[in-house]
Amino acid sequence: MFKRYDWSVGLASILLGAFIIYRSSFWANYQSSESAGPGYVPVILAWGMIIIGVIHLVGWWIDYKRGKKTEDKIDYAKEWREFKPLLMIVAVSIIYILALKTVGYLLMTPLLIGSILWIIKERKIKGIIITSISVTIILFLIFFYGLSIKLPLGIMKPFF
Amino acid sequence: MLDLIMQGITEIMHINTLLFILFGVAWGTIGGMIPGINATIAMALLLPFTWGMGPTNAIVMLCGVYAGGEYGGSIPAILIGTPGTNAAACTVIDGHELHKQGKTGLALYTSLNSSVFGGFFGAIALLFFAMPLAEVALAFGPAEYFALATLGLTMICSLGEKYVFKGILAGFIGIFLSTVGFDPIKGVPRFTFGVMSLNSGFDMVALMMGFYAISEMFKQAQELLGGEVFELKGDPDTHFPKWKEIKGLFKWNVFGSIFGTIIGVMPGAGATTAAFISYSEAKRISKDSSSFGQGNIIGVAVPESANNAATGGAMVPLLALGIPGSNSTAIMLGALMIHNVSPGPMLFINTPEIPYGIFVSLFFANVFLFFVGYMFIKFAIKITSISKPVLIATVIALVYTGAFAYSGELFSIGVTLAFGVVGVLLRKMEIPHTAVVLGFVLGFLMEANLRRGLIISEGSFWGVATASPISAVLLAFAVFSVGFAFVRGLRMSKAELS
Repeated sequence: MFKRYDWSVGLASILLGAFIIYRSSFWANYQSSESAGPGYVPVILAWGMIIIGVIHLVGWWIDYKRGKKTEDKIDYAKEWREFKPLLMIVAVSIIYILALKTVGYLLMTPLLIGSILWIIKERKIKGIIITSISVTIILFLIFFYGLSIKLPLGIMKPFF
Repeated sequence: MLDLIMQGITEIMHINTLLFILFGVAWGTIGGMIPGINATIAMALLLPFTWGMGPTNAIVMLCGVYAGGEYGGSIPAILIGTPGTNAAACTVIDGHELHKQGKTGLALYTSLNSSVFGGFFGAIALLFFAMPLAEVALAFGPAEYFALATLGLTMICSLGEKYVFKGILAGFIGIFLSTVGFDPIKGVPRFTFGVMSLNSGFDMVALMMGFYAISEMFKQAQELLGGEVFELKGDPDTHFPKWKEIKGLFKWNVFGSIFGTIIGVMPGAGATTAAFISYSEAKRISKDSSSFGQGNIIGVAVPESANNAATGGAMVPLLALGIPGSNSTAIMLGALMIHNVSPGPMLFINTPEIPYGIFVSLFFANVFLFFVGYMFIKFAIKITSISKPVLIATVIALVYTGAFAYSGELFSIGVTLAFGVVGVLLRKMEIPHTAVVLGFVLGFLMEANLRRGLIISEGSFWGVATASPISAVLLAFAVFSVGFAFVRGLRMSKAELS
């Protein structure tokens, strides 16, 4: 029932539960006219999470003591290789979100698409440029003109 | 009854009206296919154009959009693992797996057939049982809604398979996420940390797209770089299913449609709830429940028939009681009111041609849906020939654009991205993210109605549980389901150890 990462699942579950109980104490005053109150369901969930967290920690500990997990070594180099592109796409996405309003959809979206293609080892520059621009134009036409969605135009606003 | 149906047919049988339905279905299907644009938004975009139409034409066109929208979401759900609508999120689970196995045609056409079947079923139910079904809706008070949501939530126990506790934890996380924002009774902002955009909670669209689309694209990007890229096993099978396969799913289509119609009738529940609850119940009763999530075609047929049957069900409270049970029917109510038509029991007495015209239009909408869907599938299937890197980058850009389009806020893109990352981490820890989504979908329904029920029963939980035979039976089923899932999880664990 338990696996190698389960100590982290247990710990995260307990911490989340404790946090929910702490935050729910802020709304204790609202409980006067209603038996339940805003914190009622979150606190029940939190205790559930804490119990499940403890079960995972205990289960993992028992398995660990029995030596079941010794063959299940974590390859940190492999983990890093797997998560590196993900972190890079996340970083590019955060830049996209932060700059979208100022720079505008028409300039930021080709950069986003191009960056993602580059991160996932697409190296044909011509292909990257064509894909980035054509996908952006198609999406812009569908959303901006077809569905009348006010996409952020940023510095391109004077042209529309 | 027959003369009323004839009046409805007479009302619809005009070339203009039929063209409006056809246009509505096509528009709705396109809207449903685009992540972030659901049936409600597609309808809202058409609402201004209904001003110059007659009330029947206006509403039947919106009925077409509703049917098309609920179906359209399944196409990207199957092909790229990105649900076009919230209700199609359930279709991703098995539909996308089937596509990965090369059974693309089977998944796509089953989704179409089941949607059309569900739509017909809902329309028949509406035609003959509108008033009795309205009474069912009225029989559901807070205690019954709470019991129904709880029964649906017990599915989280089996979603973790042998890791029962992880399934429950995931469900709890989902319910917790549904508590973010204004509290349903007092209006107290919870877990918002002063962020205004969180006051109304997390957008379901952003959450679904993050968990399903973004995390799937991240996973595929990781696989691509790790040399473990998923490639279709041979050319995808794009053929229409054989009669034997269609026939084999008949009882599951009926099963999903019954759930869809009944849940659709209940105000506030809707197509997404119908899809998830029917899926969970199908998995529970299926002899082959362990193959759900790994490409079981029943996992496509049931939620798709349910979410389209819900369109017929949702019309019941709207037309018979004047209560819009969902955002989409609220727009229809708006369209009716623009034309000075007030829904309610008197609508059936004063202007029966309008409600019966709408009922009949749903039949036509589903006939058109079959042909429109067939055409769209032929076109959409070409997605499978796009190279993996281009598809990953395009889907991410499409999803971010869709997230922004839905709310008009950059914050939604951030939420989508955050849930995408959470989805990857949950996958890594083997926590089923479908259970998180199920918790989120049903969490609000459960909490709001539990607290209303507690107010009515003056704080007695037992009072809520035994408020009516319906709530008592549903909760008894829920307790049984939890016990069953635990025993099953323990057996699976023991079998693995031995």
